[in-house]
Amino acid sequence: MRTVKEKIRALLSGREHRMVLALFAVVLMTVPLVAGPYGVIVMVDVGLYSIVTMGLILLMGFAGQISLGQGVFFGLGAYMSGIITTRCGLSPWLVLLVAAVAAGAVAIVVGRALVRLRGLIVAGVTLALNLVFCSLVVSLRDLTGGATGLPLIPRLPLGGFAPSNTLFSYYVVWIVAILLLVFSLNLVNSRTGRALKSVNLLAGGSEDTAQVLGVDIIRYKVQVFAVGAIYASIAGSLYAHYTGCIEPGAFGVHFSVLVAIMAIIGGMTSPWGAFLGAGLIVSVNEALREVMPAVVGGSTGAYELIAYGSILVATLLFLPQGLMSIWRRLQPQERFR
Amino acid sequence: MLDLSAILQFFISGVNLGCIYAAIGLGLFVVYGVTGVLNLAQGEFVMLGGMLTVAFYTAGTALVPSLLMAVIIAALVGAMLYRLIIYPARNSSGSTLVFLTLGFAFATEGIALSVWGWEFKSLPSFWGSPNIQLWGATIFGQTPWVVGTTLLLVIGLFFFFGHTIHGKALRACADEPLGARTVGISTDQMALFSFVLAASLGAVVGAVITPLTMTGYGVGMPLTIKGLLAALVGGINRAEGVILGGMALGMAEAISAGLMPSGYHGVIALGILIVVFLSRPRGLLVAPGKV
Amino acid sequence: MLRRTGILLLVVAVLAVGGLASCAGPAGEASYKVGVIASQTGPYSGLGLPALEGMELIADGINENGGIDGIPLELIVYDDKGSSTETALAAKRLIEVDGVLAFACSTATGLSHSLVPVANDLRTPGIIMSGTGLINDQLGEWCFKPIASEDDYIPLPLGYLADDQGVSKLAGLLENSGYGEGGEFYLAKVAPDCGIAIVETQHFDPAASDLTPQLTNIKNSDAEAIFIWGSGPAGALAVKQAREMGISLHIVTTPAQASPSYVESFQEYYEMAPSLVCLDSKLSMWRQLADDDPDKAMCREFDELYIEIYGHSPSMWNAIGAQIIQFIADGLERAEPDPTKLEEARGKVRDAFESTTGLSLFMGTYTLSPTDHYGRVVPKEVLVTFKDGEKVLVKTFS
Repeated sequence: MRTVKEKIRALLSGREHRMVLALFAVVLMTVPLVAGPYGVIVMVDVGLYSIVTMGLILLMGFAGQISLGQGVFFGLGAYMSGIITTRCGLSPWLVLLVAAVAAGAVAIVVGRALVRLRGLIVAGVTLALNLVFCSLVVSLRDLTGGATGLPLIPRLPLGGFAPSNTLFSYYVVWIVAILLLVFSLNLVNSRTGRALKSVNLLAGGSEDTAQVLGVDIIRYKVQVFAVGAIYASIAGSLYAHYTGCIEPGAFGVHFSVLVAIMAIIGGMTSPWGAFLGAGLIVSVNEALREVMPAVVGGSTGAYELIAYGSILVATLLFLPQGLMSIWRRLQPQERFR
Repeated sequence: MLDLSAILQFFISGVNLGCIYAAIGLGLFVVYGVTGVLNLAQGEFVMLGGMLTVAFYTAGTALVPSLLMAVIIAALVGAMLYRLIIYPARNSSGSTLVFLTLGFAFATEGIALSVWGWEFKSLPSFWGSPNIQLWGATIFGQTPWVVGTTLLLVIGLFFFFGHTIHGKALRACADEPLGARTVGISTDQMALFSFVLAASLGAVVGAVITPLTMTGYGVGMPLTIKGLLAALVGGINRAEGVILGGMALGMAEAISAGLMPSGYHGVIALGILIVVFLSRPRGLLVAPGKV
Repeated sequence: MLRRTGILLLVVAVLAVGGLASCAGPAGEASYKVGVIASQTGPYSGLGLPALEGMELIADGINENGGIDGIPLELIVYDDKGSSTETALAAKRLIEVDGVLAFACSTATGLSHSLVPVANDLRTPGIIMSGTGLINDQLGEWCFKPIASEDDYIPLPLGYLADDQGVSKLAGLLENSGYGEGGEFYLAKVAPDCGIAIVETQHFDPAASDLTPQLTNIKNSDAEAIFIWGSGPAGALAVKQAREMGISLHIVTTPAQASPSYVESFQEYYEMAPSLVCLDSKLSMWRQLADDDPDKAMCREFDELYIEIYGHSPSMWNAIGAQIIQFIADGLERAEPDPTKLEEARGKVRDAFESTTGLSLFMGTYTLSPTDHYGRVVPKEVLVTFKDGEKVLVKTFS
């Protein structure tokens, strides 16, 4: 007989994820009914961050590849959508797909070069790529609107029907997020995922082992890198149509680092970690906005920054493997190890 | 309209920037070499060094005591970072440790902002050292101090790691932690020492560059990023690599700012860096292909 | 282990509750709620924090005098964390959670533009302090930009260079930012009218610390003067480094370089002949204004009040913050909205902003209309220079 905890764990480990997924989807679809308008607004951001983070978790957790450059692909999606829909008047939905394919293609080219590098160097290259991307957006002012921003990006259309931007964006973002979650869970359990897991790069497994086992690790890593880029690009396109105005600062190193924080906080052992990480970081920010003015008067920015840093440190000290590891800690036998 | 004096000026600018980046990269190298932690709070030590020196100096203390006090405080903060945050999490993965230092950096930035406000501060160049005119190019009075400090740091580190018992112990910790422990070297003490050393180095650099670049509560993170790029492009495992990486980055920036079409120099400087990264994946000093 | 986990779960739960509680709908109270998004952390805090100081001073002053028509003004302030995503989120929070009648922002140009769709989507009047006129025709129905654009005030420094100094060839040294882009666009547009040709254009990053390569290129061009356009420390460093390199061209700059902390640090270089000429506000120069200047009394009063409260004279960003609240208060006074009926009240406030006529504030006199949310601005910028440790008035619009 299984205990409740074991059952939860079994559910989350992917073996019985269909039920959890269904429950998760139902809960999400009903959120707008119970949460106020601002709750929905915050959840759109959580959804967008979750999508990018999920790609990064696949990359870091399963391919063992650090990236501090997810902002590049988020930005590629946003700018391709923004530029093509405002200049050419093509359907935003079509452009979203085209942008995702293009971002994936870019990622395959970049990824081929990247996966040959090891460890920290990859962090350096992706960081540099992110800086180059932002400089390039500023430099190509006539095309991108430069640092002033690219305004007047059309909303996502839905036939002739024009729903409220926020509510519609909420459903679009979360339906995409759930579809990508299903895809991620399948990927994790697919040939690629198993191959990557077999060498267990996250736990310090070496690529040489993989080579000996005859696993074409390079190919799998490039695939996962491209998948992460496509996720980020889709989120970027949705972001551009949702906000209606984009500027290069939103795709900078700060964004990439934030997403990496979300991945670490969430836990890189499962795509589910993305939702926990994004949810926690966004709620911490919102809670601080709510609480701080009551604690200190006047400008609270500096104190919010201090609190944010401290919460980040405290969370990682308590849960070095992220929120997902709570489930593993609930496993009885592990306590005796 | 390009002449030799312009080229010389770009070169001087590159050396100047390169020394700053290399010095910050060296701080990253010291901690990484001994503990394997990528310390994203290194720039905050640079900020603290600059801001504290300005604070003491404007309060009427002479320059050298101001700098010394700033270095001591920064060193204590470095020790605190290790004891309170890194040590308790020493068994966590490398990426967890990186983000622990990042959280610390955020908090430090917030504290600096609430204490000193947002204004940028400056210092006069050290002992009023004058600008030097050289074949139509200008070397700022403070630049020799920056270059000299970086050189001293480099020489000091080489001597320290190569010729002192302490330094050899540090290197042993880096190369073979288990072996080091077996022969009686306290890896914990060494790790603490590396954080203190990096924080002090950072603080000195922060004070020395302030007359040239100004300082403010938020300068830490951008400087960390530059130092990180310098260290990674050159190879963070070797001090020579870090110095070379810093110089490469500084030169690329100065020369593209001077010679490339304005408006694209940011793209070009970092583009050069990425090409170097990809062609020399183990760092500048190791030939490609060699492992 | 379990205890630790328990504590953490508790923390998460508390945060979640905090987050959800904050999502409750706006409550109607008898005060005029005005939202403020100020850059308090991140690279633009030099634009947000001083403005906030000025805003609070004006709001406190209004409330001490019994509020607007007896109703107190309540400022609700959020940080933008230097990010456009956070800027937009803060605005949405102000509108949906706090139920503000209008909101204002003080941050970087590019960031402030992300508020235009927010104001228009959620039908709440938004005041942006964008540094560029490039946005003027995109403000929509609900966004306002009551601050002078480049083409309003550039003629003053360019006229000074052309007419008083006989300069005909100018080099631009511009920040890589939304602010710098606006400067580049309008310099190129206005300069020919003043008889000036732009012969060299160089750019620098807002965080740059060594501008000698750019300055060398300007030195080697045939420019007779340099226009430094920047909002942060790099612009002030550019002045210092130009003088250290022995460049003795005329230098004019945007107002940020006249900020007290830079003047204090770099006085020696600012005063080197030909001394630096900066755009600045009438407010900081009120003592040297002509006695018949209509703004002198207003500036003097504010300056004295500011010194009394904060112990220093107001900088230009203090003044910009102050005048945003004055602009909003003027609108509220004429709209007389009922703060309990939000939707109707926001519409009334918007209509009141659109009918602003001849409102004289520190940085200009504003007249807006339903088709013109930026307004026919009569700018009040002045040119100053530096001599013997003092700021000296050079030229005003006359």
